[in-house]
Amino acid sequence: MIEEYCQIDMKEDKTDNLMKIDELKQLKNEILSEIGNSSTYEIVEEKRIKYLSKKGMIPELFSKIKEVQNQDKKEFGQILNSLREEAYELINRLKAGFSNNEDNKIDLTLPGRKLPVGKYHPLYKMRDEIKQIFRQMGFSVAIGPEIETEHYIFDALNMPEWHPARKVTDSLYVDKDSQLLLRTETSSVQIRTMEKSDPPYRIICPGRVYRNEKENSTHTAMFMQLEGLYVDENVSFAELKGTLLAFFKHLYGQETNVRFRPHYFPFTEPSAEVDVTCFKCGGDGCSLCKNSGWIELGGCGMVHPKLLENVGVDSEKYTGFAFGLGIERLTMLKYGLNDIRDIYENDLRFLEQF
Amino acid sequence: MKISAKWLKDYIDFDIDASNANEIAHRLAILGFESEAVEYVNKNYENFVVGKVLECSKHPDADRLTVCKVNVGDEDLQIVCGAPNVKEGQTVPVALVGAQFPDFKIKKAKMRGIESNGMICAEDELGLSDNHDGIMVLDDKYNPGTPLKDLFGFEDHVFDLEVTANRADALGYLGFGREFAFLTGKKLQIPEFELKESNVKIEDNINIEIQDTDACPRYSARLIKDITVKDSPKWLQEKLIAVGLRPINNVVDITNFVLMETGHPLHAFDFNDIAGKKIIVRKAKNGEEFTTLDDNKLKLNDDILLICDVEKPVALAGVMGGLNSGVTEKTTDVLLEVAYFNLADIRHTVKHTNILSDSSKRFERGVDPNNAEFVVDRAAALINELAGGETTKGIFDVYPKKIKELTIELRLSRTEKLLGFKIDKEDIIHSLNSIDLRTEVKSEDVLSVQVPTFRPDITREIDLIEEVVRLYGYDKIPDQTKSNVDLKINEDPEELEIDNIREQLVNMGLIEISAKSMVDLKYCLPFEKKPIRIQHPLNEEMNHLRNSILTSLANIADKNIRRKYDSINIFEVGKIFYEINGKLEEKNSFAVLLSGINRKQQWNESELEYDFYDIKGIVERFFELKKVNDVKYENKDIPDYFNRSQSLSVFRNGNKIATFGKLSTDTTRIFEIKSDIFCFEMLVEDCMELKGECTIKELSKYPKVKKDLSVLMNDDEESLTIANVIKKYGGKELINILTTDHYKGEQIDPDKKSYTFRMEFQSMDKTLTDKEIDKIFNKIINGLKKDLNVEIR
Repeated sequence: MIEEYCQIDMKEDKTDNLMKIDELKQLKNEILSEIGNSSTYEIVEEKRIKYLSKKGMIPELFSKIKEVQNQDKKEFGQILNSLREEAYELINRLKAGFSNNEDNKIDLTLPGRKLPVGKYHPLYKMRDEIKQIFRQMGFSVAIGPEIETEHYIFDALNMPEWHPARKVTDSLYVDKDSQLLLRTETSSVQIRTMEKSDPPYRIICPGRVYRNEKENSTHTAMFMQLEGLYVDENVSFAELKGTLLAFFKHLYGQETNVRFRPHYFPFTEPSAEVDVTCFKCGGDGCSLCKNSGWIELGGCGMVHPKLLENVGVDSEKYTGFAFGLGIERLTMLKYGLNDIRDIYENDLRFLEQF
Repeated sequence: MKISAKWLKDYIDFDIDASNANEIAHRLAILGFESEAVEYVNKNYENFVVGKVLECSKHPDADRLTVCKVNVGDEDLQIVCGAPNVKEGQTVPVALVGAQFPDFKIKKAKMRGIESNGMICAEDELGLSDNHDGIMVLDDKYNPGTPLKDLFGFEDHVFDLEVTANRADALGYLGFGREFAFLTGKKLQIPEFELKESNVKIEDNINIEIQDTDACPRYSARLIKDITVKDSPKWLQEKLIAVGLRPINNVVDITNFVLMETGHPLHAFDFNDIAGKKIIVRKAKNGEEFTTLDDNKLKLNDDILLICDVEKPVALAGVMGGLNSGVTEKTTDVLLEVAYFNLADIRHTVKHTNILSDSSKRFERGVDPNNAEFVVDRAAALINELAGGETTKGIFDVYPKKIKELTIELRLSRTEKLLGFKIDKEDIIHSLNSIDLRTEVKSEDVLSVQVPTFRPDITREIDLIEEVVRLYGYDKIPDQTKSNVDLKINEDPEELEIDNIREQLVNMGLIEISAKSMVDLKYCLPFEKKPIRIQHPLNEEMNHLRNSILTSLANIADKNIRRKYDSINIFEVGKIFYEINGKLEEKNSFAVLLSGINRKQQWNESELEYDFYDIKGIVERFFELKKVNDVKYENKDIPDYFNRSQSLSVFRNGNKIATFGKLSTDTTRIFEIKSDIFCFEMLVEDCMELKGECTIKELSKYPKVKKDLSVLMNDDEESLTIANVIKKYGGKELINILTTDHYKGEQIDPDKKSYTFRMEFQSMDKTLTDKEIDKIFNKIINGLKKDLNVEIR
């Protein structure tokens, strides 16, 4: 029908050059349905050439507008415009649908080829995250030796002679005669930092510490601690609470809250244990927090003036706070791990899951 | 420390019940006394009543059973009883039908054909003691039908408090009560008692000598004569049981009771076992022997403080009494000791003997040296009340140098500065006063605080500030943050480098591991550095510190291979430790280890095992990422733990900075690994020296042309030699040389091998014509032929 009409139209140019609006409307429908019936990409392309290419039928029809009766010209043009647009759209849509070449059909169910991917260890990943948060708050990372002298581990920390942590049997010594042992706290780094320069200090010291402790699901002889220290003029207990609150909010979310409970540490006064809103139940009470709604995550306090005096810092002018967290515990809580030993087992089947 | 709410009520009129127990626990935690558990004890004896045995007759079919008629108030019940001591006329506890026992419930039952409607109970069945000798016989004053709850029933909440190491004063009801009174706003009631003394003077009966007044600043004693040792009354037993102590006899129970009440340990000796009627406080002799109350034989050293008579030691001072002088049923005269010992001396004894007692726990934290009179009098009065006897006149008190109270000044301005917020002056005065830290206003800013001797933990202003904020409430501390940025860069460069290395290695697809620093010596041995021994290792698997990261990596590789994990590509950055010239050193180091399958078989490619070129690729890429292009790889200075023919050392400016390659079979054998191991280790500090610069080159706008060239050469010829010659003749248009193929096989001479090099040509100024490229290419070919003995294929 279309072919026929065109031929007639072209041939009998002069005899009846006035195409009627109704005819054009019908023609439009026929063209669109013909394109729509295309069953392959190639056929769509053929139709495109037939109707939309420079020498195609639709441009041809446009050129005939001048032959249309004046009163119909406008409508004729509108119909042609819409035909051109719709045909163009339809062809593009069909092409997109056919663009997968059927000749190269592949088995889509075969597994994809993956590029090798490296993994950070979950413990270090947690440490990185913690470092990142504290860096945002203006803390820098300080490091120090793992083999330390008793001075930096106990004496400089105001650890009383009788303190249980001082028991030889609780620490791992490498040379008792020269009082060298594996550090039991990263606090030694804080002391070293304070000895080296003048306040202000705002540091975190993440690192390995060692205890002569029987290993079980919650203890290992070596673990990773994170301690922080901030000494300046006018550093206060309230700021300590604010800082830890900010940290835990970054780590566990905006709704997190922090609770302080009085405690005793030889190196801080006042001291506190830090509880954080249980992030599993949001504080309602669950098995993770033993129904308390709180999870104990660390200890903190205002640096004992004696410690500052020991390193020659004016304890009247400067005040400061310190805190300590166990990175394993934070890691275990984050991933729901039950046994700290898994962290150090390095079973690759375990590590590849992170 | 266990606090029974019921007992506590003796001193503070405050009820703790199910409705407020948890809230109290919470408030106590905020005050610094966290409870590990709040135990609810409920003995309401529902369906238990007092009964009167009206008649007894033998069971027709069972010799040991008695059929009883028991009045329980409204009715008479027939009850079959198995106890031998049941008799007519006894007043007894009866469990009625429906009464609940831990593992059964009383029902109407037939026993050997005879109906039984309840059970007459023994003491153990009521949970009153362990006694199961027969039924319990009650005082006749109780009327049948009286609920048993009225006799024995009690409800209690027991707080298992965690008292921090500095607060010995809270390890007693009165000390804890001081805090609890503050918490509840009630008044602490100190028990009142009257002690009657006989006319016999204590000094006429005993002498006391302290030889070491540093170790024992005070020793006080009272002597009580003609007492009767027997079981304690119920009220006392109950109290002790509630806090987890086993009742023994009235005298021992009283010493325990007073210890719990006052927090001050005391000891009772059988006075008749004290030879020479003299107490001598002295240090032990080295090797001296002593047997404790609980029959523990000890060998002592001269750090240990002893309480002795003229012949023998009778107690480990402040820790435990001796078996030779304890109070038994035969005791008639007791000597009550209330002493104050130096904290460190008690700790020596505890450390040496490993005995932790209720007594040592308090002495080593520091008890009040100045409450001896109250403690010893309280105990003596109770002994007179419960065991009879007469207290001799006076306290034998050796206290040569009185320990005085401290006076400390507290500045309100300092308090506010340190806390970051202001607490009202009147509140501070009020709260300090309420825990007996007596304050006096010195000036607008300064309070003078008198610290009683039961608070040895308070020695300077900061300790008072802690008290102020503790009493104010840790839950009311505001959150403050100040935002300020340091102008000074404080980051440790090594730490930054470590993170940089980790990032590079992870980006190369490697898995980071975290291994312990402690390893078995045998794993350290292959490596060059001298390992450091741990002096008291937990076990032999952790007796040394690792001297190479490879000890850890190889160990982990082995464990994973055993688990059939077949593709190992791991790294770690961490400390290594070693001894050098008698000094202990520790350095950050990092290592990479590859073993097993590199690319697992996928559906269109074959499985590849890791080989030397994989580790080399990692090393080359590592330096490439560091923008370092002046390192040289040479097959020399290879440590013994590597396989020399598949290893290279990395040199920079003539210094060796690392070695990588295949581990020798001797090494892998030590780790019990059968597969090939390829690895690389380098010190972080050496890595920090590598400061390559990232320079961005201008890019050419003209097309690049590739040309391949296959070269046939002798087997022992190295590809680098060829590449260098190609470079030499390639001119500036040759921008890249890649080795794209390596062939050895049937099509060529067995002594030869073939490499295919792909050369890329490009000019910065123009499009290279075919003619121009052919010219360079021919120059290269001719150069190769001229300089080397090779054939072009």
